[in-house]
Amino acid sequence: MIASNEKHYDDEILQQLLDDRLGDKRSTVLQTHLSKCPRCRAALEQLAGNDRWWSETVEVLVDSQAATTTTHDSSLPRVDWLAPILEQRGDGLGMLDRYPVTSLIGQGGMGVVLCAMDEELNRPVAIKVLSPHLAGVGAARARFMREAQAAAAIVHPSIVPIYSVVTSARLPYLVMPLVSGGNLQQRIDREGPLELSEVLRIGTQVADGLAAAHRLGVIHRDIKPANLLVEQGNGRVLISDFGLARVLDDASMTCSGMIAGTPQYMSPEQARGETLDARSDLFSLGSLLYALSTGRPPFRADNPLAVLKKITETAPRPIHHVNERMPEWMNRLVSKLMTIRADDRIPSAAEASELLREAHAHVLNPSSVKLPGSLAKHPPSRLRRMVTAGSIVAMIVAPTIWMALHDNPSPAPANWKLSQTELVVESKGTALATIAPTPTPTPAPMLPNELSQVLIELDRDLMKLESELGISKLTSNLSIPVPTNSVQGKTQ
Amino acid sequence: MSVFNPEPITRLSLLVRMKNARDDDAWGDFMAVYEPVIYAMTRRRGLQDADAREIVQEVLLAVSQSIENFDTSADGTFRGWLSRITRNATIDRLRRLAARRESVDGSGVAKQLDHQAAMQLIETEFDTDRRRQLFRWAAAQVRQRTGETNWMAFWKSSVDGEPIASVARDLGIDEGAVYVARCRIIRRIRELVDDRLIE
Repeated sequence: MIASNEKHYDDEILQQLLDDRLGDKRSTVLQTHLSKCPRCRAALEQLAGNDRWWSETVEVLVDSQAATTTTHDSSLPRVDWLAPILEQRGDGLGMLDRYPVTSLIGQGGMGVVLCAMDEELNRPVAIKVLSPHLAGVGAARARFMREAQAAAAIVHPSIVPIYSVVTSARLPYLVMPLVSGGNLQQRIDREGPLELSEVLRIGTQVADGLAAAHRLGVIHRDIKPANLLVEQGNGRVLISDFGLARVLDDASMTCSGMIAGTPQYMSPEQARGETLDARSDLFSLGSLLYALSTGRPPFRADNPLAVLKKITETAPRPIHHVNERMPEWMNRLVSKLMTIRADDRIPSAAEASELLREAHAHVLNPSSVKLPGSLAKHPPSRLRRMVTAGSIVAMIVAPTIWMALHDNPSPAPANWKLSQTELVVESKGTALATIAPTPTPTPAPMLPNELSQVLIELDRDLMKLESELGISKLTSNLSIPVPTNSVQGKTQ
Repeated sequence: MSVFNPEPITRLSLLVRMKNARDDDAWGDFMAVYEPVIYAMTRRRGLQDADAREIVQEVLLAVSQSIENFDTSADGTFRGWLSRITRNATIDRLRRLAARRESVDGSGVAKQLDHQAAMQLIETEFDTDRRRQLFRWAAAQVRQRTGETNWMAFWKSSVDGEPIASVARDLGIDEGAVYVARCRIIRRIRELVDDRLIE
């Protein structure tokens, strides 16, 4: 809370801001100040690097962008680089080592997928070849091999097995069975939303596969409909491309401002560029179920950035509002996976699988199998009532606080205190006001976002009151904590 | 913004990592800078992709074989030493390439003089290319650790030159946050580049 624009920060503080040593609260205050203060901005920029440094960095990056976009454009439509590694012999496209290649199945950010024949075992195979622009990047190449070997170790009916990982070739490649039923993205594009029982069946299989991988410490990182292959005939779903999303991360050498691939199924922690654990896959599993139930991805926007922003900040439109044939409890189920905070999510793929299996059993036989208790409809939560109460009470409480402070010649800072059951406004250790709901025997879990909302609303009402009364001191003396993670943490 | 972890370079540990465990990340950091430099320099001399890759492999193979010779008691860091032998191996290889072509093209005094000048140029070219590649490498490192929103704030406002206000609006963050993000990123890039420039 900066009183005026006259105030400037010294280099010491700005340096701390630059080094991220200032703490969230003070950083936020400083950021707001910087929006309005050219002098502090200039000082911060100088601390970050002198003019020559800024211009050299920008110049190099502009250059690399130009270089990568041109090579990219020319290499994408054609697969010229493939020809030299295929030995011309017989029909088809040629031989890749001992595999005769019959056709090109697809092309992605990472390389190409070829359809070939394993003549020794007389079975058709799919061969994924790492593209040269990645094979040339040491880190990407190393990652490709490491991830592929980790994935090859997972044996599970819901995961595409890897027959072999060939790292000795000039372009490393993977050999996998040919799965001929297309992928789930193609299926949604063709059929639209799937039936509820089908969504649950697929979800259970995917969760089972993820549980097996997570037990071995392998995270998929890119669960989305296009990465789920369908077996022709039995409709079984197989997860492909385990861990390979990271290979592309390494190739962000290109430094272009664009985000590789589609971010629509990313988890919030992925969108923020944080370290991931297995729970990231669970969020993406939720996004997948959402897409299968509604026929469209959960977060949509004009550009990838806006999608990322939505992922980190909002909940998608409820499933049953998009597709009326879906029950409300399906939305509750998916919401348990798609929570912004990883801590609030169903904690493991095994538990997700359990829940999906029970829900599926219920759908198949509603008369004898009950819907899992955690999906059943609850009465409106106590908290929701409290939120409403909170905003009404605020208008009554605010004048009280003001009067209390006003009576006091030197108003001490008042603080909001938030506990599981009540909201207390106190000054000098004396409670000025308490908002507490009537006690109930079993407290419902609180939602951090709603609590923040209460605080924000109370804050706003106070400000309004303050301006109506023509005083400016009140808010500047009140230290109202910004609803941060630490506040949310206490409610857990 | 996520906390940025600078990696302290202990020359021995990196050496041990590269020598014994053939640690992929240590190699990755090394190759991410030198591979593209050698490749680009070779391509600039008119070689095909496949031939250029072969030269890159040759040079890096030579470098990896001489790692055994590094004297851990000598002055200077292992990375610095590695950087120097890579530079020498690259220049040497490109020199031989040029020499072979000249013997095919014929020779003369004027050509000899040109040749001297050309060799000097190769050294300058290597240093410039390496410096620029270090920037790209550092930018990629920082991007991975900083989160996409901050990176976009930096990229759009600094590289694409968009006005701060519109970047802030597009990303849904404060203008102040854009300033902080781009300054932090420039600073991190500088730290990483400086760190490796002196090697």
